[in-house]
Amino acid sequence: MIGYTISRLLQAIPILILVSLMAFGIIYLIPGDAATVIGGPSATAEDLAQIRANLGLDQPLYMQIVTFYTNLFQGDLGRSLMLGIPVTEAIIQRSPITIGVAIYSLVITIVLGLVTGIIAALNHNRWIDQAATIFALIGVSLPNFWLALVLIVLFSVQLGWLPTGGYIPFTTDPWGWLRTTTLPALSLALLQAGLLTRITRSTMLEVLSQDYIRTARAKGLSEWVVVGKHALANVMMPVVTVLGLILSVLLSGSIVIESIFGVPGIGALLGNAISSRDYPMIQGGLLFVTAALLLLNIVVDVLYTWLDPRIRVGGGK
Amino acid sequence: MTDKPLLSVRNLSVGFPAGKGHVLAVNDVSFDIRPGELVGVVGESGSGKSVTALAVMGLLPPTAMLSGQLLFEGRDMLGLSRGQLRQLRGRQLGMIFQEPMTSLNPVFTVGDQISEAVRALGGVSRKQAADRAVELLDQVGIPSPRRRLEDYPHQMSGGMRQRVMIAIALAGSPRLLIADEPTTALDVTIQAQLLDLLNGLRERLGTAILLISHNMGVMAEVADRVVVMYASRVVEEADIFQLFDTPQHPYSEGLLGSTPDMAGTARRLITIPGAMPSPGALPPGCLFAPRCPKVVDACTKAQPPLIDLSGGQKAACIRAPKREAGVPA
Repeated sequence: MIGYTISRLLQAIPILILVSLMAFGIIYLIPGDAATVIGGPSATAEDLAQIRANLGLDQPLYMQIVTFYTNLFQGDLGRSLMLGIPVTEAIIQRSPITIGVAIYSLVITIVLGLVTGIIAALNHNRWIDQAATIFALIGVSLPNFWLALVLIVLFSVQLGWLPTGGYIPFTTDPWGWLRTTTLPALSLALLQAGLLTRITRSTMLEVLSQDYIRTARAKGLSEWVVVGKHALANVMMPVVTVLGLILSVLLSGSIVIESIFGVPGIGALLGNAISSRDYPMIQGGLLFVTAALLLLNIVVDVLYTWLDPRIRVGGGK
Repeated sequence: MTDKPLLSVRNLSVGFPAGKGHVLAVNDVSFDIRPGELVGVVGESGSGKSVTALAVMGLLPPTAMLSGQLLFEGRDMLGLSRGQLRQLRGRQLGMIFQEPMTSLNPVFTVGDQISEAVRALGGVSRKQAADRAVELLDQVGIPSPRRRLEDYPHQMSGGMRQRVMIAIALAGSPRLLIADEPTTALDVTIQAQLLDLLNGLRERLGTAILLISHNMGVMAEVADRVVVMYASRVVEEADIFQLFDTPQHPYSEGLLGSTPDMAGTARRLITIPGAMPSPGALPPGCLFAPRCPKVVDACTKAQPPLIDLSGGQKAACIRAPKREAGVPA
């Protein structure tokens, strides 16, 4: 299992190299000259030369690549044009906020998706199953920014239960954190919960028809143990597989959702960086998000081998 | 062996919804199993033998419609609540299935799956349950049982897994063990070992066994009495020797004729022409008539009842009483 983890980590290296090259290349993807775009129409020739020197664009290409990677390995992602602070510092400041909301959102997704999926499967073809299927279909079909607006109208404007936006750190006031992050987390979670419901339901239906479930019943076990232990342990495997996918959608969704709710996380940071053409920030954010997703997917894969002894004991040694 | 039956199946019918109506997978089936007896149910795929077994275990899907009586020690199991039935399973009734490869949960260890059955009986600690699991594995002939507790099913061969299944079924010292085609998925050599094991357990523990198989050779090996099923009905019931010496139903004869002779007498195997009718499209009269080599006009008029012949033999063929009386067919 340790060997497997190491091999998965090594596999991530080529992906990181590719993504870092893409991040480096962003500056060349802008039509025309990056300096003119950054400087704006009022910039003088000296201003432009200064911007080029700051970005290292006056250097030959190979030097730029060498400098980029030298700095990258030192954890230096450049200085944000918009904020005036190092990109690394901005990421370190903002990422815990996004991670907090993402975990909250993931918990809602898992609880809602698993519970709905299991209840639907246990009541196969009855009204409750059909209601869950419709809920799941609506979930996967709605755009999350639209859902966010609907939630604001309902819970903040109409009912007045939760604030329309803003952010209170957990360390300052846990209750305030919960109040400010519930709507963003819900907007991200409901859609993912729909996906998870569908997967849990279909997997559960398949597992319940397996021979080992019949064996468990033949032992005289209660239905609670049959479903909660024997079926659930097998349902968890495909569920964990989609968790990696769900996490990546949660993180990319946070760009829009954080901007809507004014949550100052990585998502909002990247959203602002994109709209204000803060290239070093975009580069850094892209690298950070990719690296984080790669790591999370490796964790999911390792978790998978831990859940399935056929992989763990068989080929995973 | 006492004469009082342990399990008495009385006019059992099992229907499943199909289209607007329903089809009968088991039709008016009756037979008894006495304590310590090994009764075989034999028939082709789809004859209703597995459905009968699952009905006894109370493991049929909720859509199944049951009628008749399933008397276990005189108590009708069809009248029991789900909870009462669960109490019977694991304690009084144990079951092993055809597919040892898929019958064990792949994500739990063998030890866990056996001790769980032991713990379901109540009143035992984790340690005691593990000890009992070792004892059970030893009983079903698994070498160095304590070391195998930590194994997962995929680390075992089919024969070993079937032994584990038997160990699980024996956990509650059941009075009746139902074995549904327990050897079909296994190699011939392993089949013989498992049949020996089942037979040995019956002798040592006095467990009655209901053995389901399509294989007359398996029946000859271990059964005391055989119930022959065809297209949801019992067509013959007889002592194993009676059945092999004087089969009274042409279908039983056909089954015996299509079984290779272990004694090695070279002969051409007889095949039964045609296929079993589907439960949705049954022929009029005797269900076997379209395939019967000795069919007469009267066969297509009415379903012949299962009638008692001498020596406890029963057959559902209109020619059976005459044949028994020595009148040439």
